[in-house]
Amino acid sequence: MFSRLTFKSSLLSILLHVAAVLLLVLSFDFTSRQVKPAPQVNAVEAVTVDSAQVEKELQRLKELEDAKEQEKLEKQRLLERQAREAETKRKTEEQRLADLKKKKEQEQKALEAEQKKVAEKKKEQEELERKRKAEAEKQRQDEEAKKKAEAEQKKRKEEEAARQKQVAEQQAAQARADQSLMQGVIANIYQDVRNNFNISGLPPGLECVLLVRTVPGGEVVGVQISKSSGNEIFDRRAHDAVQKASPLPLPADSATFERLGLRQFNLRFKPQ
Amino acid sequence: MLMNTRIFLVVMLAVMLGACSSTGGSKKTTAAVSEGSGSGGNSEVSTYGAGEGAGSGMSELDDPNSPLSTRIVYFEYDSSEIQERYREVVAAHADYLVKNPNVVVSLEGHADERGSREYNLALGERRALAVKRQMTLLGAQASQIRTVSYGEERPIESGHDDNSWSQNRRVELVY
Amino acid sequence: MISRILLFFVLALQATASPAEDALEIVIDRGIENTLPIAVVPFGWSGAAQDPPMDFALTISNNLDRSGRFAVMDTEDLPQRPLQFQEVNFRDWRLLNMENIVLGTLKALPDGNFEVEFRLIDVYRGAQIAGFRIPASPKQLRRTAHRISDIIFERLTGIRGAFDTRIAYVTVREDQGKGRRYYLQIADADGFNSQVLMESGEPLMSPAWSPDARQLAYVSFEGRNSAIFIQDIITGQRTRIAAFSGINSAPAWSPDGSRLAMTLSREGDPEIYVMDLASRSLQRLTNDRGIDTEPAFSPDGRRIAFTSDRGGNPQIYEMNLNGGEIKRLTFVGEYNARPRYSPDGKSMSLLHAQGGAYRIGILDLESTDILLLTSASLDESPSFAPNGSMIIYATSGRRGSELAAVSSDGSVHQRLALQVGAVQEPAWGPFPPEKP
Repeated sequence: MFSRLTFKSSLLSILLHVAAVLLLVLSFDFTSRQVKPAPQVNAVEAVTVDSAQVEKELQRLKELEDAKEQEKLEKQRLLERQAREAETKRKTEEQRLADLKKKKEQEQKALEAEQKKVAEKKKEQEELERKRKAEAEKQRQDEEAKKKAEAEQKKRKEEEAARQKQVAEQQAAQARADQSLMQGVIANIYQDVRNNFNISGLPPGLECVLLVRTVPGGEVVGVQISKSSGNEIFDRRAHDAVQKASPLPLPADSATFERLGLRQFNLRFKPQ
Repeated sequence: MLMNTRIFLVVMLAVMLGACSSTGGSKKTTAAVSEGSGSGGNSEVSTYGAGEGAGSGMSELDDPNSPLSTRIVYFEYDSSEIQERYREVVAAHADYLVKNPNVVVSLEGHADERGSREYNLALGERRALAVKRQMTLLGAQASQIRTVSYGEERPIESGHDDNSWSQNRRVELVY
Repeated sequence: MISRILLFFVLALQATASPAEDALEIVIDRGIENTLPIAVVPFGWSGAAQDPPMDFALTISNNLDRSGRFAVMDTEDLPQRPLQFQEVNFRDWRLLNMENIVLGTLKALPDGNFEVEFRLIDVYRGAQIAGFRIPASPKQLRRTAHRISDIIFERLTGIRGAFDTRIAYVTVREDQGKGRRYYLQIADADGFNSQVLMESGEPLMSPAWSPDARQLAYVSFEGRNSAIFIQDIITGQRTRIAAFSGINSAPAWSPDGSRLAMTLSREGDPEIYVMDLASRSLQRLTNDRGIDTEPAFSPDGRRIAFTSDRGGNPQIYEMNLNGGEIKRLTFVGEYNARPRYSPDGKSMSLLHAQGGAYRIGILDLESTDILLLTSASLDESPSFAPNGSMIIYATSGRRGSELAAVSSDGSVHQRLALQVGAVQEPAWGPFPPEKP
């Protein structure tokens, strides 16, 4: 739609321009003819003189001596008539020229007016075009901006998604790391407590559960028997095992410590 | 039967004596047996007879030249078998008992210190009974022989070595 | 190791998955078998005399140490010497990994008696486990220390202490002018407070405690043959209960004290008999041409183990008292003798010889494995403590025969310092009768 409109207006514009240029060229031709007439007239006169002299050069030279005078008179008169005719012609020509000039001026004026009109129209067209173009440009820009915004939006979304993905991955990695850390920590707690859990001389089959409270760094700040084995010595040995293992191998960094969730946990003593 | 056995044993003793004189035994025993062999196997038996005839048993027991002067029979570890070199001694004492029916001998069995005390007490008895059995086979009356075991409770040697142990594994004949 | 951890993880994860618990649970499925760290602080003393009549802390320390179950801290290493609970600086003791401390005071009373006060303290709980104030006459002081040791032992191991028990044994001395003399003696389980029950120029053997700890059966040769006597420890009254021809020996009490197993050879060779003590009636249990001796009642009184060489060399056999076949128990070693059941009936102490070395071993009745507890070459007469935690035995060496003790797992060995002379055939007495 826009492109067809643009093509039409462009064609129109080109035609107008061609017309204007043609007008200008034609007017230029008139002007140049008007300037050249004098040398054209002289040339005709000279041809005429030359031919009469060539053919009757010597015979007529004496014969025509008198005639020469006559001729001279006649020629004088011819010349005078010719001069009058030329004068008339000149005046007529002048008049014609003046008319022509006037007409030309009128034409010029009209042309100018036309040109002006054309120019104005063109200007108008141009303005329109400009406006249209501006509008189109604006539209394009808007479009572009919109597109850009959309792209940016999309990009942002993607980035956000990526970021979220990354966060998720980081979290997953963290979780994996935590899990691995957790396993290590649990294994170490197990090891430390076990190595302090003296079951020497105790009867088999006993079991107790202790609730252990710790702080970052692993210091045991509380041991509570949540399920007694019923054997005081067994319970006491379990209790002492935890206390002797303190500080337990827990992270000192409180964020990590909290993530592991070992501020409070159960220890089930159940020697096989 | 009894007579036959005695004859057999006398022959046995003669054979043994030959063996002993060539190989030797423990110091104590060899000395006693050498004396006997010097006067011949048969004369040894007759010596008992002479003793009995003399009616002086005790003096014969005190005779250092008589096999009767040997009053200890030694044994191998954890064994109650009478070794060959002591069969003459046992036979001599048996014969003495036969010839002196009123004499009573006490056989005191002993063991070395190794092993458990109660088992050693039984082992000492077994040794004493082995000697007693031999003597009764040779004609001595069971009533003439009293056995007792002291196990390892009365060692002769107090050392903790092979020599002491070999001295302590024994049956003592006590008249 | 790895499999342990894996197993543990499986357990831990299972436990974690349990919806009932919101807290993580770690399962401690194993422990260690270790001696228990304990410190016995020297007791305070208040009395007119400069020094206390005895060192309680030393006696208690020695007892606990000898049991093999405790790691007793050297007195020089004690970080402090508190006399009262309030004076205990728990942090100091914890830094030393000390689990329990004992502290107390000995006070002389105006009437010449004493008052002993002691406390057993759990360092990691900062709490008192036991605390007693015990009056004691001067003669009872040492026994009081043993009773305190028993309380500590029981409260920390769950096993009844056997320090307040006595041992019987025979000593042999060459006395000037008298020749070799045999003494039947009893003493505290730590070897102190010995007293002579019987003296003889003839051998004495095989002391055996009655289950009520009031009587001793033993073998005396005073009649120029072995004979079995029972003697009342307090009154000294004695009864000859077996003096047949042949051997009369190896007395062993039934757990209820009504019967005495013994070895008699009155029928030719040594056989096992059981005598009903009330009626003196005898029942012969074995009939074999070999030596059968050293009977021992199982703790439930239903079986008798004994030594027999019926198989060619001494090995241990077992029979049911109500009939049934005789079963051989030992197959390893050239010589296994003198069985004694552990108090729990699951194992048996014995004398085991291999390659000429006589050592104390423990026969596991289930696996029939023999664990050798000693490494000397002339050990004999093992006897279980009534709580089964230790074995006392006699060992012969350059210094003659002396008493030694070993923990039942073979981990702790100790010589018991007794008086001069050869000491043999120790018999660890039963728990004392319940106090009135």
